[in-house]
Amino acid sequence: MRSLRAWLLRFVATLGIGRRDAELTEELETHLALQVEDNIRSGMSLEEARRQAKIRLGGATQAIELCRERSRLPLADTLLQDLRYGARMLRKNPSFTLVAVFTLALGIGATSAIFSLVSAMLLRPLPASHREQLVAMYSRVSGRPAGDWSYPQYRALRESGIYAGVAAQSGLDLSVTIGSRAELVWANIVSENFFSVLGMKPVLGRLFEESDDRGPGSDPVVVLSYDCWQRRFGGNTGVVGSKLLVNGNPFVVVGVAPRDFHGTRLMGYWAEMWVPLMTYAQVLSGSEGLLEQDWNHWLLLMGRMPAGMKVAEAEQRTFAFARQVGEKQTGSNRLTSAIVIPAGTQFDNPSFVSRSMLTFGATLGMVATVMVLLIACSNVAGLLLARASTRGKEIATRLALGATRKRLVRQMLTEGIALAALACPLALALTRISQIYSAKLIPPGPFRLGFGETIDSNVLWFAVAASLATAIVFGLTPALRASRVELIPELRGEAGGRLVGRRFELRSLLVVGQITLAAGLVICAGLFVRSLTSARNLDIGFQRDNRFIMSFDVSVSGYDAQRGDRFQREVLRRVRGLPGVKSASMAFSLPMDYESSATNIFVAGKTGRRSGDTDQVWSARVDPGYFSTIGTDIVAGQEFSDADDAGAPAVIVINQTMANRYWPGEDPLGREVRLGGSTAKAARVVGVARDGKYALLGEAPSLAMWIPLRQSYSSWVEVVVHSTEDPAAEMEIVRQEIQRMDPNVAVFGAQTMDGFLKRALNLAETEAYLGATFGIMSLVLAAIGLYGVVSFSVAQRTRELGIRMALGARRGHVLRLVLQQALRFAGTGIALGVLLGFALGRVVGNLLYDISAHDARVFLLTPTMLALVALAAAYVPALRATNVDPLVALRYE
Amino acid sequence: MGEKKDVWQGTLALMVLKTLQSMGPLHGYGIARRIEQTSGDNLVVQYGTLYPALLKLEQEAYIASEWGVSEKNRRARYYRLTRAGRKQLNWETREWQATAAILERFLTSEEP
Repeated sequence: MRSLRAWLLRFVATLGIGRRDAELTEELETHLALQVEDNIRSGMSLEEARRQAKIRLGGATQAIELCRERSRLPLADTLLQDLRYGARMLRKNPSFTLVAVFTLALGIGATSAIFSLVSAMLLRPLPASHREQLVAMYSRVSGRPAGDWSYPQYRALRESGIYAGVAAQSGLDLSVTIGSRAELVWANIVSENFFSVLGMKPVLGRLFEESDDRGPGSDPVVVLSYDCWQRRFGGNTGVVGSKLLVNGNPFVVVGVAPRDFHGTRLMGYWAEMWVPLMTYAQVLSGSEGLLEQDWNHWLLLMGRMPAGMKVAEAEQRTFAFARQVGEKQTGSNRLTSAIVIPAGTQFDNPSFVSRSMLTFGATLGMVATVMVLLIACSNVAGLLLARASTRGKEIATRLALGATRKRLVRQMLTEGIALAALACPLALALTRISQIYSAKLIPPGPFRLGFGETIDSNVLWFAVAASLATAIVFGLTPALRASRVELIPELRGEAGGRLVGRRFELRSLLVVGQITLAAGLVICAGLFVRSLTSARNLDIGFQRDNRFIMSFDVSVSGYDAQRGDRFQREVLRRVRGLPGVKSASMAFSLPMDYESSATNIFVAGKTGRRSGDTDQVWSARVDPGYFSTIGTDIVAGQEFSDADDAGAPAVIVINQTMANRYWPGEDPLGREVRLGGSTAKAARVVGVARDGKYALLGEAPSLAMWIPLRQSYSSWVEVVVHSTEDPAAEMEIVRQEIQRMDPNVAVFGAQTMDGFLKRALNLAETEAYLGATFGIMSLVLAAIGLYGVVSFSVAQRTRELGIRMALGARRGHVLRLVLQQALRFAGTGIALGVLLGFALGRVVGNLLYDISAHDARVFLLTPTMLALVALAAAYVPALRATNVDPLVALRYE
Repeated sequence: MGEKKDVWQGTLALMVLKTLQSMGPLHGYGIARRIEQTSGDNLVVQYGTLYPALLKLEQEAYIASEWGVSEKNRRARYYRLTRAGRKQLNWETREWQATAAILERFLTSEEP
């Protein structure tokens, strides 16, 4: 207790509050005077008295120093001193400070930006209470990936008592009429305890409560997401209590969910609204008897574990539960097991969202940024080293006067921390800017996907930690080296200038390292840029000029299959009749679309390894005229006609790859393919289409087939139009026409084919963008580094160069001398960098489209470009070297 | 008369407290003289040793100080014992006496 009081008083005193030194001095003077008086009284003379007193009492200065140490916290004292000194040094050299801070900010900012992306992808916490208790449960049916649960199973799990609360949810799109327009909105249909299990509080109004569940047909209420409230309703607080038409039914808005909550799925669409489970009849078509269907797995379950339970235990018990349930089930889809994953952050189905892919991408990004950060650090370290060596004399003096090496190192380290502290806010600003830009990389779509959007506390702490780490990394080495000066030579001024030809000097190593990294990153960037160009020119198998698409889904407006089919045909008829429309058709889906389907097919004697096995083939359902509208050539046979209707024999069109796979060298027309297993309905091949890309731009040639839409109804369709002129104007005309036919049917996703394909190109564009950014950043930093090193070396060699010139060397010779040294660094760096580039190329090889990871053009152009940059960076200081006046140089100390 | 030793670190605080108890409030010089006298002039108190110790005791609130005027009309800082200081003095005295007693037994128990 006492020592705590003492410590506190000392701490406060360090800040400047408390007794001042002057008082102590006065006290000591009094003490001395009294001693002197005593001495005089015992017979000494004044002088003798004084002398004896001083001897007896000891050194006053020392006493004051000891008292000062005792009255404050010496550590804090020296720290403050160091900071003040460091600040002064930084102010004295503004250009150095600016360059150092800017360099650091660049490095730290880039790293933080990538980290924010990683954090958003992998660490997004839900705005819920006691997140560590939240889990998600997935059912397993043997042999199939993890999946959802049925309604009876949900209720059983809820009542099993394993969890403190179990909530169910599912995703769906709703046709919501806001104002006069019907918009398609992604929503989650959730159990009434969803928000209470998660432990969320509303931002406005209320969230769902127990009373919202009064059995099927309960009050139709809806909760809006914060985002939806802001964007679609302008943040108007009067929205609570207002009515919305959802699929034609009136729903009442009761509240707004917390900010930043877009649903619980990591890679899912952002939910804009939540509706209660019990309104299923109004929002899900074909949902009669849904609540009783044991085999219909449509609900994602989340639970809150009772306090103290761990995920492993929850999984065990849920597993046992699933087994029990499965044993009592009859028919297909019997449960065999269950898995439980933590759900405190956004999560997704572990069977599909490959965390390893995410982690790989994230690691790659982090590695690239850390490389840039290292370059930035080594640059600043180099700058500090340079400055430290010019302060040799000052350091020697301080050491001679009694400063300890530790103290010097600490002081220089403090300078480093001050630099990092200045760079940190700048870095955060850069991070914010890059976040805003990266948001533009997320492709547009009918619903919004999402990554992070603000600087959250994770990113903040990361930036601070990175700043500190870099401060120590780049601050320590120069500090340690600088304090190792040799006193006598330094004080005499003879230590100036490193020996020319000293090979393994730290700064040289640093700069070679920088150039290597920069070269490697620039090569990588070059590969990505080339990949983008080739991606843009890939043959996708269809045309994009003057074409556009839009989608609508009749099921949300309550159409059954018959009405829907009729509606779709009418839409097509009317659209075809519009002026400016060259041709039109419908499809579910298009190549490289958000949604796609695959069909299992069976070709006698050809499919699978064992008899009876099927193959899976990408497939789409299309109307007659699809191929000509979208511009895919039919190379054999013909495309679907109006005769290929519901009652007519089943037909299909296949692509060249499929034709070659099953009937190489033969005529595929007329062949039979069974859609399903070996006993399924058979369809005849009537046409062969030219190959193209179906899922990813970078895929290898794959099988594809098309089925007539009229033989396989889909409520969601995309209208494809080939217009005679500007698609943008025509789009609006077509959209209005469809809307006129039924205002309750939401038409969405209208975009030109170019816009649609932008999404497919998105990955290539992102890679090129990121690669180029890193490449340029590291190149700039390396150039600055080289410039710095050459300048420094010239400054060091001023004397030597002066002598050379005095002895008759010509300017050109001096220039060549300096440049030679610089180019030696650059050459080594570039050579090593090319090797690095090879290695990096192999790593990113499979992200590249259509070009080899050792593309000749990139590997030839990059070194040339880098050599030129190095030359430019070294030229300026080299030029300065030739302007050295020999007389001045010889006098230079 | 042996060599004048430098005052032992840990015991100086105890001596200061005792001095203040016996003599009442004193200034720094007075405390130093009194300690030297009590030790039979075997100890020398330098101000480099005394004043830091006084500071520490004051930080720990065993003594308190205020400016006053000495006999010769000089301004001097006077120190006095606080209640906590008194308690601490009693406790430390007992501790030292106990230690001394134990050591006594050891040092006088030797029999060849």
